[in-house]
Formats: sequence, C-alpha cells, structure tokens
Amino acid sequence: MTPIRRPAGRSRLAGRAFIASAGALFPALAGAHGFGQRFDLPLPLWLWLTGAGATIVVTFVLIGIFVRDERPLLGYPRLDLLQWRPVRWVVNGTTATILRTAAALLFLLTLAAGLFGNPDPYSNLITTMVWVVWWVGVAFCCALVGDLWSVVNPWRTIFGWTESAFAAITRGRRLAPAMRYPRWLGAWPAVLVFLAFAWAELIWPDKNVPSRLGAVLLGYSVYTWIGMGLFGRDTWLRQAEAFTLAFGVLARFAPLEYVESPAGGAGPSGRALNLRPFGAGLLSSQPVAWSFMAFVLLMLATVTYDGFQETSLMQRVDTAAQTSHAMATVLFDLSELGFEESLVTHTVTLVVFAVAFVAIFWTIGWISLRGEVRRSERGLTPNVVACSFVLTLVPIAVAYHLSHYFSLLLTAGQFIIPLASDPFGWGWNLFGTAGYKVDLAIVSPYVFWYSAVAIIVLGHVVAVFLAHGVAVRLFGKQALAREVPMVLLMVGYTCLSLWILAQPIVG
Amino acid sequence: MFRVLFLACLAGWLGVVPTAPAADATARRVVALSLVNGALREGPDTVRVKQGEEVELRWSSDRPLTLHLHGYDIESKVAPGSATVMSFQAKLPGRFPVEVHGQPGHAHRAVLYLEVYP
Repeated sequence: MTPIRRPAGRSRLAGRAFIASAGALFPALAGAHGFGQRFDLPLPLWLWLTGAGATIVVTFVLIGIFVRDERPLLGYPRLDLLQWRPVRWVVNGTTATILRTAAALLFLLTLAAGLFGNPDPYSNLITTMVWVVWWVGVAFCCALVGDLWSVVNPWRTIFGWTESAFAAITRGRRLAPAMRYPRWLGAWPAVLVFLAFAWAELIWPDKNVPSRLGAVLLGYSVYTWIGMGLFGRDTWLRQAEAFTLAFGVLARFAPLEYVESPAGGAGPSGRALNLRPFGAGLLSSQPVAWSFMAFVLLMLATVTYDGFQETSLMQRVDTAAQTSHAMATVLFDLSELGFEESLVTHTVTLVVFAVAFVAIFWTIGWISLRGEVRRSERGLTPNVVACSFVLTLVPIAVAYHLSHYFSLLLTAGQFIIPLASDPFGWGWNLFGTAGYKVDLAIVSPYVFWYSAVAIIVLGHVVAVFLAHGVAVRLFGKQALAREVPMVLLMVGYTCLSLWILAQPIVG
Repeated sequence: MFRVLFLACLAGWLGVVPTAPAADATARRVVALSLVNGALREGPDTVRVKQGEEVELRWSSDRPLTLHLHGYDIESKVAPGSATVMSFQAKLPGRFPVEVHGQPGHAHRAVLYLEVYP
C-alpha cells in the first residue's frame, strides 16, 4: 500500500486528504494465511443461523442429560490395537525408523530448496511444504488420527543422528545435557515461539519468499538443536518446543494414543496402541501448568484470528486505526521507522486477541467460583479452574481449524504433485508430474458449507461434554451450576467460529 | 447501491455473434467497471453470478494496470483510453478476487470480488 506520508493533523489539508484516502488504502496482505488462497464462498445466512441455533439446542439437550447423570468421567474406553498380529507387523520400530528417516530427508530437501531453489513461491517446494503439507496437513493428521509429529519430528531425528555420530567418533562418550531445565521456564519459550510463528504465518509479508522462509527454518532448527543440546533432547521437546507442544495438544483430541510403559494399561509387551473416543485425551486428571494454559489459549486465539483477519470487520479496524488522529500519528511515526501501518495494526490485533483470550477465559473461571463456596471446594482458585478447563475448548478450535482449512488442503495441497517432480523449481521432471495443473473444483461449495457447520457443531458437543466431565471432577454435586459460565463461553466461541465462516473473505 | 449493469443476451441484442440456440437460455452477464487511481470508482465491489453464466467484465482505468482474476487465472492489462474485457464462463464456484498487480510500492490488492454461486 502507499505509505501515508503525513499523519492526520500535521496540517488540516493533509488530514483531510488522509481520511479521504484511507478507505482506499486497505492493507495489502496478499493471501491472509500462510500460503495459497481460499476461494470458499461464505456460509449463507440461513445456514449460519441454523448452525448457531443447533449449537444452542444441542447444548440444552446435553445439559438435560447431565442433570440425570453426574458420575465423574474418570477413565475412557480403550481398545489396544496391538493385540492383533497384522497391526503388530505394521506398527513397530522398523516402520518408525523408515518414517523418521524419510521425514528427516524431506526436511533437508525442503530446507535446501528454500535456500537454493527458485524464488517463485509456487515453483519452490518450501512454501507448499511448510504452510500446507506440514502446518495444515500434519496438524490434521495429529488431530484426526494420532500424534504423527512426535514420531517423525525431523529435528529430533537429526539431533539423534548427531548424537550417534558423536558417540562413534569419541568411542562411546555421550552428549550429556549441560543443565537442568528450570521449572519456572515452563512452556514460556514455546509461547513466545508460537506467537512469533503465528505472526509469520498470518502477518509476515515475506512468508512466501522461499529464501527468507528457508533462512527462518534454518534459524529455528539451530535454536531447537541448541535447546536440545543444553537441556537434553527429550526434555526440550517435552517442555519447550513449540510445535511438539502444539501438535501434542491437537493429538490429545485424536482417537489413537501410543503408550509405552509397563504400567498404564499397556499390553504384555509394555506398549499399547489404544483406540479411544475423540477428545478423550483432553480430559486431564489435574490442572495443567499456567504457562501451558497460556500456550493452549494462544493456539486457539491465533486460529480464530486467522479467520478474523480475512473479514471486513478487520478492514474496518484498520481503517478506524488509520483515521483516528492519535493512532494515525503513532502509526505515522512507526512508518517513518520502516513499520508499515497495516503490519502494525495487524500485529497489535493479534496480540490483543491472544491477551483477550487469556483474560476472558480467566474471568470465566473467576465467575464460576462466585456464590456460596462449599467445604469440598476450598482451595479452588480461578487459576485452578481455568487450568482445569482449558483443554476442553480444544475440540471447538480443532473443528474450526478443519472447516477453515480442509478446502485449502485439498486445493493448495495439490501443488505437491508438480513439486515432487521439481522441488527446486529448476525445470526438472523426475516423475513426469511437473506439468500438473491444480484442480480448484475439487470441493464444491455445498460440501464445504454443510461439512463446515456439521464439524463445528460436533466439535461443540465434544467440548461441552468434556467440560461437564471436568466440572464434576472439580465441583462434585455443584457441577451443573458451576459449569454454566464455561458452557456459555463455549456457545459464544462456537457461534463466533460459525460467524467468521459466514463472512466473505477479503484481503 | 449496487449498480450492476445488467445486459441480458448481449449477443442477440448486437445481432452479430452467431450463437448456438442454447445460448439464449444462459444469460450473458456484462459488468462495466472503471478504475481511478487503481481503485474502483463506481460499480459493485462484489459481482455475484450463477455457476455456468457467461461473464464479461469490462475494465477501464485512468492509468496502466495489470489485473488478475485469481482462481480463473485470467490476467489482463488495462490502459487509459482503451477498455479491456475479461470474458469467461463461470464454471468454477467460489469467491475470487481481482487483484491489481505490478504497481510499484503496492503489494497485490483486491479491487473486486467475483462470487460464483452453485
């Protein structure tokens, strides 16, 4: 967009010209999310209203069921798939090694393509690989199948290779962690990295420039390996690595879980691959850490912000910011320093979203503790309530994420077919697929509309169900009364998600 | 506000273009759009059509620009004094931006959305 050279108010004339032109100076953020464009038609009004109405009706029906059933949801049904021989043939160490090696090689290929390949984002493997296959595809797989990322994580594999090489060279010496991971650090490194990642995905103007993306990928890899070297590979992944945590949160929703311990319901071999109901993994027996709660809410906020910034409401926020005198002056001063106005307003909005999610959620925890406190509820604070309930919101976010992205995955994901033949964009044709043209008609608007609404309402049902499970565990007989604020929040969150899908995509 | 220029059966009206008899059934949608300073001066900012309709977007501009209709992937150059026409059949449903490309100092910006309903 044209940089605004003079802020409103430095001179009256300039001010007027500024306001007159502001309407035309919408942010020029091409392709609001990571990569590729969504061409989805907005949900028709009647369908949005039907979805919102269904959400409310379903909530009341569930509450009606809960009135009669106040048993705490302690465990969940599991079915160990490893009891069957064919499953054991497929799920074993060899398969894992093959997958890990393939993923690590693909990672190195992607990185090399970004650093040395064609600068055109559509001809270079890295943009499609990072924004579509990895961030959307792997996330879908984690949420709908199981934690694929914890198996194939290439940073883990490559660090493991380095450790083995080091041991071979030094004849058996091991890379010992230099220090213990401090408790107070919690998930905060992951929170910061995820915020930066969300900014890169949604706002960064160079996110589709292969060389820039490659450089950032390399930088983050080095950072991750330093973290692993300092605190130990698995400690760093479990505590502080943003994507392991993010995919792990999504995988708690998934119907498959892998358990490897003699206790904990594992089979005689000490390991089990359990089939479980969707969302069962989100029922935690104790509150999560505060930093982890912030991380989960940040994930939810960025998912919602992703859709929100494509609505015309966001454009109005931009325009309002640029036309208000005080804001325009600040924005102008920042633009003198090289920060473009729309970048600033979008970045601020993203942070506001994240902070607002935490604030609203904590307040809901506080509200639910109002009223007479029974003896059994002593020791419950808003923090405990918020940290206990936070994972129950995940199904709504997963459902919204699926609705928002599945058409993109099916259309932009097709770029991987020509790119497989020519990953660097150098005119190769390894498999004869380089000339493949993307078919945009693969998802009809009807399929998109109806499945989006159905998925979101189903996600809402799972969320309300889980929230009730947590409420019974925390509040006992008071559960039904105490969970009302949380359930109302869920209704609002679900309706907001549907509303965003009913807005025409702009920007 | 939506001042859509609706000229049905343009081909028949002109009486020039020989069309198959079935073409009378499919309406031909002609929309005139004029750009001033790279932004739409008049006309709707969203054009809604039915899937299968023949669409003609007639562009004029006070400065040379390159316009790109995404999804359909049609690129046209428009210059002062000469209108340019994007003519296509709206086979693909969805919402597609027409963006201005190649303006120095500007990133890609949507000037119009085409919504094709099934």
